[in-house]
Amino acid sequence: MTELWPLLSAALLAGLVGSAHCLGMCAGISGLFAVNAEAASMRASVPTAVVYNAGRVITYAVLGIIVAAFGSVIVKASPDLAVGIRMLSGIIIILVGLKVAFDLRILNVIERMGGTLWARIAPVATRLVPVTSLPKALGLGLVWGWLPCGLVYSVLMIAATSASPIGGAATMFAFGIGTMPAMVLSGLGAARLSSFMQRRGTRIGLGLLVVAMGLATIAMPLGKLLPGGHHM
Amino acid sequence: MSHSACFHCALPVDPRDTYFVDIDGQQQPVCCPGCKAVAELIRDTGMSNYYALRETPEPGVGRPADDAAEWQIYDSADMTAAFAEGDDATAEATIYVGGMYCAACSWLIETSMARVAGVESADINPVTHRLRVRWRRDEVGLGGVLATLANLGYDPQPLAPESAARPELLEQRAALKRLLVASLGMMQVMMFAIGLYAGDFQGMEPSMQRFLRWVSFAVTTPVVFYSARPFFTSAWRGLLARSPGMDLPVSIAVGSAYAGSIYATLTNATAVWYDSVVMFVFFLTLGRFLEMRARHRSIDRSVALSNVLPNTVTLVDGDDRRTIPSNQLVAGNVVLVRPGESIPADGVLVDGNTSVDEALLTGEATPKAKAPGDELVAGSINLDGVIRMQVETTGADTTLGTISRLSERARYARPAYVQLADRVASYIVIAILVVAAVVGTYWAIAAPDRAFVITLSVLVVTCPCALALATPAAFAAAGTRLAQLRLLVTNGNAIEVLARTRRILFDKTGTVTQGSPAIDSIEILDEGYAEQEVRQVAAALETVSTHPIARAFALPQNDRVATDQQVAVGRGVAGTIAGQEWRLGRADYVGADTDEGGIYLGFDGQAVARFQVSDQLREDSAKTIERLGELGLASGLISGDSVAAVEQTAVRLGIADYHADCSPEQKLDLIRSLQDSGEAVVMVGDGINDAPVLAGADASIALAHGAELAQTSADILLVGNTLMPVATAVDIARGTLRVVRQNLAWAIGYNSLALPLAALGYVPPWAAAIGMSASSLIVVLNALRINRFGAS
Repeated sequence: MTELWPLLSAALLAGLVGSAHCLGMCAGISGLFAVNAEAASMRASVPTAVVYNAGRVITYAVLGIIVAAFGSVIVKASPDLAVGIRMLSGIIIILVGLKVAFDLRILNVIERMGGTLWARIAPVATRLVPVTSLPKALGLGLVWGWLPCGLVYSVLMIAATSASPIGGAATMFAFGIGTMPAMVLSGLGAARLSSFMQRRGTRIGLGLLVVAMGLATIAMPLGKLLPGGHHM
Repeated sequence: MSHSACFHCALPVDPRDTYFVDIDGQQQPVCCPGCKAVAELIRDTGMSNYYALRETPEPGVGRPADDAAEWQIYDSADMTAAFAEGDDATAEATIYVGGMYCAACSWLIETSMARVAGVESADINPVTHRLRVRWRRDEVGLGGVLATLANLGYDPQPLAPESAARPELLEQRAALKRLLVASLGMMQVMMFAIGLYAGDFQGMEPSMQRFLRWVSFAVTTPVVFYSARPFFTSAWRGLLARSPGMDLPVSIAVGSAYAGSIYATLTNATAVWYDSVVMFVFFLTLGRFLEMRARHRSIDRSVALSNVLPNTVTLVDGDDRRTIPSNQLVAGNVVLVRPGESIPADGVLVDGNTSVDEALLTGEATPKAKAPGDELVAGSINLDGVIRMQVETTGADTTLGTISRLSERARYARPAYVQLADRVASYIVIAILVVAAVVGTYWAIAAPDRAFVITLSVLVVTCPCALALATPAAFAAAGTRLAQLRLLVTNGNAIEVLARTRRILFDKTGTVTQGSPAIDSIEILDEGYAEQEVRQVAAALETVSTHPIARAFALPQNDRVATDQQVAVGRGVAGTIAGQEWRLGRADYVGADTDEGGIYLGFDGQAVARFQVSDQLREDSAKTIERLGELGLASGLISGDSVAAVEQTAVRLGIADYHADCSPEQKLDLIRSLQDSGEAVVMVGDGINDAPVLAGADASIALAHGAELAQTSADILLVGNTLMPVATAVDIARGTLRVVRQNLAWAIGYNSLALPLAALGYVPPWAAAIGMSASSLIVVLNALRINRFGAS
């Protein structure tokens, strides 16, 4: 179990840094909420923002279970691959770290695959807006989690390499929690508060922390392979 | 059209990797599948006008183009200085954007602003409609920014710099950043900590453990040096001032736990406490933040008051009309105010008829008609006519400014209770440090390996934060709540008196009555005088009196003029008219043979006429007395008026205890005798005519309006025309004291339970952090309940 922590950490950090950068794209969502701009108060919009985002995180966790289930099938089929998968996991984490740190467009290819899936889900979303109630907000959040997003897919790849459904769910949950501050604040119209997350220094610092997690993920299985690695 | 920007999010589109979305029959480029999906969703939900709206403003909403010149005035150095802050190169301003109706507007505004050359950043808060924009001075001016907004169809209004007017806003922003850093740090470190604890049980690679510890160190460092810095500086200041505050044990705990963890990480010792450090800092910062919010909320209101003033005014100078910033207005200026605009300063209407809405200042919803010669108050809204007014007072000296200032003062009023709590906390801090030293020494001998952890726990768990917050948080919340009800507390001790009082005395005229009396009937006692004549004599005499009754006698035109007028407070007024010394007032003052109530007019001890004056009760006077009765308070009526008038009022209000014919000295004596019998007496009056009486009471409430506000000396000022807030204030004051007692009981109970447990080594540092923080949070949250007290 303990090998999971770098993964969770990386996912949380990726959510934290990545989401602040995605706000431009998600700006439109707040328009879907039936918020009367005149009457809206911070207090009234808190439950909606939180419930909507909770829905999103639940979807992420479900996606995490699905992809990790596939991953675990592969690992069980050929245990020899286990070390390789951990290495792969580390490499992906490093790529994600570089992506969020330097705003690189790597890993974007997988985004396109999700586009076709989304086409089937979008009609559900149209029925939920405008969001007039908390259940609708939850519903929209649940649907929104499926949105083709390079960052989500990248982290899903990390989740897949966790090689256990629970690990996958936990990874995606950690990612979702990481996205909460930026998303909830932007839903409340206080995006400015999270803007310091977008600063170059913060992004690079936290991104490199993700890279460190990736290196740790790679280093650990290597350590096991090396003679005497346990007593390093 | 250019294909360079994403139709949805405006980020650059990669030409080799472009997606398209069909909006209203047009293929629009988007940058990624995500944007494509969102754009299609927006389209499919029939919200395409989101895009339409953000591109072209609705026809008719925009201002006529020839108005554009209007914005140029904002480019001037004066105006920029008034509304923008910044350095030589860049300036920053907050602009209220009127006319925003949906979230798409925020998108449109931010994107359009980004396209203006010279604009560095633009952030809009769709909830408060405030745009924070930053630009380079040499490329664009404030006027250009405003004109852009106006061209989009909005109604922009720059607001005076927040940091100048509201240093607390900066404080709040900084605190929020610290809280964010602490919470992000806590999320991370807690996760590692769970991993480390899990590793303790399940076994963990030592390399992994070391790795997690170093990462925890990396994340904890900014939390300690950034988020916790205020604690260190405050502790240091306390030390320099030789009065150690509660931040001292906090700082010692945070600092030593952090240093101890680094040592443990370096030496590969068995335990680290990074999790305790971040948790402790996070909860403390959260507690401080909530407490600060409670303190600041009352200001939000007073600042809201000053935001209603216009930024620019039309100055009339002969035939010349100029627009100038309203902060350049001086007494004597004549300004033009159009319908819908707010009155920029206190002054007198000189030309035109109109009605104004003074709801902001008095709570009175009905518009008031104004004719030339009438007073106008800053912040009220001109409803009907185009008027000219002459400015008398501006800025902080206006009624509005006075209310703002008093609310501000209310916030800093520190009741004796709070001061006591501060002193006690200081002693407790010293006691804690001593106890921690003793505990540390004991364990250093008994079990050296546990000494550090246990001493740390003792320091953290006994932090008297809850104790120090218990009282001030409650009084701050009470001040805020009362201000919302238009009760401005200028003396914090009044809250405590209101809570325990059983007796409340009301002045009659202008307090339980509306204070706008009218003459009901005139009885001529000396046939030699006509009704017209005695009216004029009375009116001439009363011109000097500020007593509310005087208003009943005022005549628009008067042939007679009085000289040498003298006011005998509580009795009447005297003056010389055409060589004759007249007196107007109570029967005994005038020298009437009999007293049938009412006001007598006469000379040389001879009554000439008797006026019957009556004054309408305030609408909610009876209800207020009834409510006070339910709260167990005995209401009394105490007045200088005649027995008949006072009795009539008392009966209608259901007050059994009334005193008529009282001079100010007699009123004061009555209060003294009640006080001698051990009662705390609250006096409610108009604050001007009964100032000495109010001063003699244990707590005083004055119903004040307009210019009188500034002269009124009472512990609590009631702004408006209703009496009920008095009863509500009693309710809130009792609730506040209840909360204070609960808070103190909790804080003392918690500390006395936690200290022995920690000293015996039963409380690990992380549990101590949670316990202490939860204790503070409970106290602050309990105090915030006061914000809901008194709601009917």
